[in-house]
Formats: sequence, C-alpha cells, structure tokens
Amino acid sequence: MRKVVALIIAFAVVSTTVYVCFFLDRVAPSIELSSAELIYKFSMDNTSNKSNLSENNILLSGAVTTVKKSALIVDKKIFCKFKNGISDVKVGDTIRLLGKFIGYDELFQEYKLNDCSIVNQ
Amino acid sequence: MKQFIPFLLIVIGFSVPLNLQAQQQYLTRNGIITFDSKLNSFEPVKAENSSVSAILNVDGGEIAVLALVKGFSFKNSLMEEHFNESYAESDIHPKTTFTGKISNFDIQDSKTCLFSGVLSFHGVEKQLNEIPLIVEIKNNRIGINGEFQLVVSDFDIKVPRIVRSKIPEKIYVSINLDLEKLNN
Repeated sequence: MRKVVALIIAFAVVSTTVYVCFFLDRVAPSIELSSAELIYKFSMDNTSNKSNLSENNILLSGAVTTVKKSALIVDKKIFCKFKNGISDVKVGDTIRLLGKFIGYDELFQEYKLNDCSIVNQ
Repeated sequence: MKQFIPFLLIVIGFSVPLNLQAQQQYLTRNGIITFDSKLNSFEPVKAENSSVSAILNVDGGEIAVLALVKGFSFKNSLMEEHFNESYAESDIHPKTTFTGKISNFDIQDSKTCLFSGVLSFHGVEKQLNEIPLIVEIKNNRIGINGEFQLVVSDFDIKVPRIVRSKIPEKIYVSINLDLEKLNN
C-alpha cells in the first residue's frame, strides 16, 4: 500500500515539474519598444533578433497616424490589427498597445502586429 | 502670367496620369485566407490569416496578394508552433505571395473570373492556371471570394513519417478579399 502511495506522490511531483517547466514557460513574455526601436531591431541582419521579436509579445508605444475599423497605423509604419473593434482612439493620440509581431509587409511597406489590445497608461 | 502657362501645363501633365493611375487601384490590408484539410480528425488542420494584403490594378487586372506566414492562427497553439517551426519554416520564409492576372476582369460586371499567376510559399514558386474565383463589383469596393486546392508536396514540405497520416495530401485554401478604392 505504501509503495502505491509513494508512486502516486512521485507521479504527481514529476507531472507538476513537467507542467511548470514546459507549459508555464510558453506564456510569452513581452518586450517594450517604440516604433523606431522595432524597425531598427527588424532591420538588423540577425535572425536571433528577428525571432526574438516574434516569440515575444510587443508592448509598442507611439503616435496614431491612421484609424481604421479594426486596425490602427502607428507612426505611419506599424500596422496594428486588433482582436476587437477600437473605440476612443483619434489620430494624433499617443498610445501603448500589446500585440504579436508577424513580420514586414512588402506590399504596403509596413510592419505588422496582430491580436493587438490597448494597454492602459 | 504667360510665363506661368508652360509651367502650369507641365504640372497638370504630370498630375493627371498619376491621378488616373491612383484611381484604378483597389487595396486591402484585412483580407482573409483560410486553409483547411477538411478531414474529420480529432484536431483538424485548419488556420486563418485575417491580415492579408492585396493590391488590384483595375486597368490590366493585375493582382498582388501577400500573407505573412506568422499571421496564420490555429485553434491549437502547439499546432501553430509546429506549423511555423517544422513545416512552413516561417523564420526562413516569412511570407507567402501570389502575383498574377485576372484574365476576364471587367470593372462593370460581377462574375466568376479566372486567376492565373505564381504562388510562392516555403520558398517554392508554383504556377497556378485559371483558378475560378467570384469577383463582386460593389460601390467603390471589389470583393474576391472562392476556394481552390493545393497539394502539400508541391511546396517542399517535409512531413515526418510518424505524423504523415495526420497531414493531408491536399489542402483547401479559401480566399476572401474586400478591396477598397484607393482615394488619392
């Protein structure tokens, strides 16, 4: 009987460790950048830097230059697509938003962030 | 005043063609591309990208579409990770593009049009011929909708033997673009 209890406890400890190491670790941390810093980081010819951008959530701050139905353009260069609609944002506002960097759009010459949400100042 | 007339003519001469060209382009940054295996498996291979860019030149019916590979989102985040790292290799090949022409395009008429051009994915260029898609002409907008099939092995995607049964040979790609007239 004791062996069974010990086995169950050991299994619980191992599975908790595995969960903590592999799954909690997957919650992407965020890095805070301005538009210029994002563009500079992307322009550097360094793949680890580029994957660093897409593995983390980006906390971007900048000035709104265009407002669309479910997207904003920040500093004329960063296209930020929102999960939901946007309210109370005007051209000229300075904002902070959290989003996922997906890459550079050569057609529009813009950097794209997906799944954005506005972060309170 | 007479001195200014040639100058004015030059300015008008330059601005009119530029203006005409601008009026004939339609674009979107919010197009949707979905791919789906349509297999009845426990975890279907299905992803959607809703930030697809496209520019259509009405004059010649030329179209360019660009989707960033990291913009494809799956329900299962682990599947998304595998797709980016092992199959699409999105760090090496960050975008998928289509550049081509619509053969029977008419700005006055909503109908099924035939799209031909080059689709690039995973660093492989594949010629697509006469793909039928519905082109809907609306007020200052053009909608392009439809579905076509692609063969996974055409794009040099290495599928490990152990998961081969789960990865379909053919994939259904559906496209939904709502292009807006360029205003300037």
